[in-house]
Amino acid sequence: MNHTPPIFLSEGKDSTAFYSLKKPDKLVVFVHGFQGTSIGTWNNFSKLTTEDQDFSTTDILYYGYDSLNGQAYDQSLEFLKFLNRYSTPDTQKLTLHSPGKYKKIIIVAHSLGALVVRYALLDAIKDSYPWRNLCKLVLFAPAHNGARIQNLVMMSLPSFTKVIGGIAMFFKPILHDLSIGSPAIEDIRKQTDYYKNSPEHNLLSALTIHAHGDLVVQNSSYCFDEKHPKSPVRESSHMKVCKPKEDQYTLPFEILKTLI
Amino acid sequence: MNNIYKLRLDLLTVNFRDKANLNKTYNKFLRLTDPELKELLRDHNKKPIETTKEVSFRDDIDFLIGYYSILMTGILCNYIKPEFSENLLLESRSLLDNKWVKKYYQKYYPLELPDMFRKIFLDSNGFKNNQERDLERNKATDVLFERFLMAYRSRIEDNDIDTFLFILDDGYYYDDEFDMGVDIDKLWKTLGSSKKLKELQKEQNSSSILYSAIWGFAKFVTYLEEYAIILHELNNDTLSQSAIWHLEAYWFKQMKDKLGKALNKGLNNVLTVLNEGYYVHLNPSEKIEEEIEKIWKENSINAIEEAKTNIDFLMNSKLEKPVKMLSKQY
Repeated sequence: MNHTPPIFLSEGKDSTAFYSLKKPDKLVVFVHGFQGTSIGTWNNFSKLTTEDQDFSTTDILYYGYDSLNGQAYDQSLEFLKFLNRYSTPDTQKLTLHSPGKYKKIIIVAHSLGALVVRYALLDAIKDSYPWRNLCKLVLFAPAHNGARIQNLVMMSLPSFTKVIGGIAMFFKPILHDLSIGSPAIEDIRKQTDYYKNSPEHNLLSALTIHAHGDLVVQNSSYCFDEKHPKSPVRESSHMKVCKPKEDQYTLPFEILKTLI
Repeated sequence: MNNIYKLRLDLLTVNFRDKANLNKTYNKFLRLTDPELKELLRDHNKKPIETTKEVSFRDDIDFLIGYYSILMTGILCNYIKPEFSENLLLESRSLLDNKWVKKYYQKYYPLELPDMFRKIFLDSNGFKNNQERDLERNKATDVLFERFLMAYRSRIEDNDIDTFLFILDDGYYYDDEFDMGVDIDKLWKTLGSSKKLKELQKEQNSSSILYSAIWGFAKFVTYLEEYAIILHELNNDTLSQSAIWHLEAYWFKQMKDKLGKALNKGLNNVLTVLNEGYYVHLNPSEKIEEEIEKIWKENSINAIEEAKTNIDFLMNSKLEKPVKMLSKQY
């Protein structure tokens, strides 16, 4: 056993931590997409990461938020607060070990999560948060080029919520932000491009993984992002591309493992 | 190894006690007089619960009793050891042995788990574990129990699910902002009529209680799906399966007929709207492809069928037996 059982965090919605039982030196933070859930979006990730020895000194956080409530920028401010709070090991309360410092922070986001995280990191640059230099960004089916809203609501919601989404969803501000060509999409792209030749380049250059023929988001290159060689992933979908499945689809976990 | 059990117990306490500030609830309980407790913890079928203060106190007591249910489930799943501090045992005695609290969880809203905790730790000489389990099997149960805890936490902290369960349990809201009464009939009528759903779209009242109840219904059905998956995966460990089932026994047993019928009515109403070909067109500038519409409709009909199957499974009285039988031994 390398990690604590799940610890419920009070920030966001259903945010959960699995702290390393050893002295941690790395942090992974997962951020779900539109109407996703803190852990459910990532399928087997929590099991795989807590069982793998390579993650034994890694704290793992699953950040959750109510994606229908507010705009992408509002969500990013909350996430930035969360990231700042947990950017140094926070296990003193449990007296697991003496607090140390992370050497690496990996942020993994899906779909709308890409907008939330990108906005947050742009503000982290403006506010000169020191931990930003430790961060690496991994994006699955990112919505930073915009999304087809109707498809998003009809195809990407989990389980029975897709039924209710299809018959009772309202056009909320977050859906406006997600629309192709929205002011939020353009704003994030413009701000990101501004840092192209600066030292912040590393922070904002994400490793992206698309699903081949994604029906929800627009697959194309983005600013100075780095595409994973196996991207776009065939026989996958907007919802499946970020979900590792034991012995069947291990790419998301393999990617994380190489970065850790 | 023992440290792991201690850590798990500590974290169940952090997650399900400290976060809900249950020390405060317990102190509040201690300050109440006998007649006050009798009145506050009455059977709602005899005298309805009307004031916010009453609802709030009963909610807090439910959480406190719920904490003992979670500990009992942890023991039955072999996730924690049946060893508790003196302070906790003292508290459990004053709470679970209190005449009015006992009536509340034994008679008015019967729950097996807190009663079993009381019998084992207050009336007997502790828990006798006759079950030898191999490590691999126990590891699988640990993972499933934790998966359940995460889903359960999400369910108890969700405001929309709260709204839905309140009206499902005969509750009635008056929504001042939208000048509208909301009860379970109103919810099902809205979900069963494309005309009413269109009106809802027109009004864009997404902050309304009705809208919250609609999403509460969707989220609760999704929670039941996760619940059913976890219990299915515990088919080889029937005691743990039964213990986890008992954590929601109020809904699956006491409310069985009402919950089963109501959810099926809700699902059938949604099916009617689907069969009318209704769906929302959110972005007029975006054309809806026929293929997407077809896939969504098929997926939706499947999701409704699956939800019905899961609900039937959870209402299955066989699931309550292993814990009940063990409880009789104490």
